[in-house]
Amino acid sequence: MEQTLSPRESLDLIADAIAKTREDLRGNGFGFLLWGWLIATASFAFFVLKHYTSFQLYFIPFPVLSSIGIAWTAIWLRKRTTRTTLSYTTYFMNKLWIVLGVCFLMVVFINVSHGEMPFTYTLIIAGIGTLVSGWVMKFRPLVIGGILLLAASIGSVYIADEYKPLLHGVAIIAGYLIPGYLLKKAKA
Amino acid sequence: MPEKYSDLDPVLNTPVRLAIVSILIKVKQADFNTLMEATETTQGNMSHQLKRLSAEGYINIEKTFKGSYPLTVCSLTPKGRKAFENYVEAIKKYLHL
Repeated sequence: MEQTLSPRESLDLIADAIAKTREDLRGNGFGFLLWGWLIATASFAFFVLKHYTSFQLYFIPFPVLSSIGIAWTAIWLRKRTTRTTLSYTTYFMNKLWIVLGVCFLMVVFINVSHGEMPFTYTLIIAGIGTLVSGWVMKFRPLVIGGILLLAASIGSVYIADEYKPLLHGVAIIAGYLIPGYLLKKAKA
Repeated sequence: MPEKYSDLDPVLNTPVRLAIVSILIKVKQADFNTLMEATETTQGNMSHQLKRLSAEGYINIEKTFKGSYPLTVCSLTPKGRKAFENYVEAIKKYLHL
């Protein structure tokens, strides 16, 4: 016959099982590192090509590196969500960043179609995702990073168009990439 | 003791099955090894308890592969979640909480 539990034993067992189910959020750092490096590199490459060369396709780093990022992220998410333990926090963050990623591409498309720089708006999108992720994971460097990205989007309004990609790259490193590395190094 | 608490859900009122469902309440899905380590039970017993929970409709079991190794991923069903909530309410009444 199977062992049964008293109500007190049940309550203790439930509390113990829930307390032991701690989530290792460090795995979420990968997305920040991947996209941080890709977007920062694209921003600086965009600035250098436009500012110092006469190359007509100066915007090409963004579509090329974004395509690499989308393919890499799709493979990573597929492995992650179908083959292991998945918390609600990570599940929510995956969906949040997928939607923000689509919005990022839409914002770039809309602005480029109008012949305008998209950087003010892409910083807002990155800021939303980083700030929400920081709050949900209770990880202060991401909260600070998110606020920094939002502040940079306001700051971008006051600088000349040609320097916006430079600000974009710096803001992504400070507000996105550095918190990503801190998350990777954080205790489980 | 069993007679005294006979109104408690017999599917959940055993240590390993209750621990499994308690873990699955907190996560969207969990793999076999995570559940086995967290409940400190054997592979055979874990398989047996998961089959019972699945047969009762409390959990979904998805069998997949990680590389060339088989992997079992479990998640709670709405029926399992409701049963857990009812179970917690029942023990709270016993404990006058």
